[in-house]
Amino acid sequence: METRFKHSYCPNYFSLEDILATQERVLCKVEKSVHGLGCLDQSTENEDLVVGTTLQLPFWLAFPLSQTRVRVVSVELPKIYKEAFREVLTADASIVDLSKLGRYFYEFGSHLTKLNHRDSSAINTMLMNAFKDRLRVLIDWAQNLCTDISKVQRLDTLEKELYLEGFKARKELIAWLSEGSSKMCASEMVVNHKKRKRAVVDI
Amino acid sequence: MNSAETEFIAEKELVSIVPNFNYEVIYLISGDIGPFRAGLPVKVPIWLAMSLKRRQKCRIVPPRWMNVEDLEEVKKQELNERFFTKMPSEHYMVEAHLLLSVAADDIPRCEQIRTILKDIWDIRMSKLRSSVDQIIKTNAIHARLDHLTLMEINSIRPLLPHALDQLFRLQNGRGPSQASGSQAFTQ
Repeated sequence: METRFKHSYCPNYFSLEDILATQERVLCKVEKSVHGLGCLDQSTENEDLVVGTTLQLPFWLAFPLSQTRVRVVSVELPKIYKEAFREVLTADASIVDLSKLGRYFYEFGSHLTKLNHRDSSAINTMLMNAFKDRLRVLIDWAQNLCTDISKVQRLDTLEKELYLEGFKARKELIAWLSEGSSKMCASEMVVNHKKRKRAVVDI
Repeated sequence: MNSAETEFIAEKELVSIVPNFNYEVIYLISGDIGPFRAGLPVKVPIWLAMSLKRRQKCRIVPPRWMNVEDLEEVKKQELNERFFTKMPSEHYMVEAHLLLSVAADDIPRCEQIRTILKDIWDIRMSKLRSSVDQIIKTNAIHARLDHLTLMEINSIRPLLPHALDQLFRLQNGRGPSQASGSQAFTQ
């Protein structure tokens, strides 16, 4: 069994999870007027982006703009990472429905910590504690082959992938315990690996 | 690694058989087996023993630990200890599984052995579960896996290592400076 965990271990240009996670929109306030980019704010007819406008930008755009030497926009934290919500997660993370808060709760959260906001470290701690709390429940579900779909749907994308991996491995172990393995099969990688035909190479 | 692969590794363990045929030494890369003399016990790998047994060419002598009294003792010890105790064999579960499936008639009280082994397995699984719980809760840096057999370690793979990887990633934050350092963790 090829246990390749697809989640990117560090952000990189080609990682789909990263692209999807940074697609999330954040509320930004313009700090410096930008010439000719009024079209980004659809509520005005203005040709330029004027100071003080608030608008929603995807994170991949907002982040570089907030990190320039003369800051162009200032990013406001999304509601689910603010203090009020952090307290909810600290109280008991395991019952919160993370999928409702955004499909990439952890990914997006750790992107947010790069903003050097004063809450950055608090967010990081919160993400870690929430992950730990939920992990114990998640491992139990996977080990006991829980197939309650309503429970599984409450997981964030990252957790869901972990759960599916664990579930698959557990199911296989239980099958072995009850009847033993019959034949070893070639790993997925080998099966899917297509050899180039000699004829094609020769041409 | 999955259970079939673990089983494959465990099949290399030696077991005594009493053949009912004569044959000279078989030379294999992993070592020589035999010679086979009818009625004289000889040590062979489990995979060969199983194949011979299926063809009714031998009788399998159960490993020394595979009897009700010894296993009861192991179970009692496992219950009393807080940590994992040493098992009589590195692959106790697989060996028992394989031998009991083909050579049930050679092993006395095999049903009882099966039940006790299942009990031991369950006790160890619940210990494993609670220690995994503790590792995560207390933020432990390392854990000792003394006396844990391959099949048991396998039972929490790949879930636990992956989960700890992710935890590590969250913990480290992911500023651009760390990105190059964490390349090594990409599988």
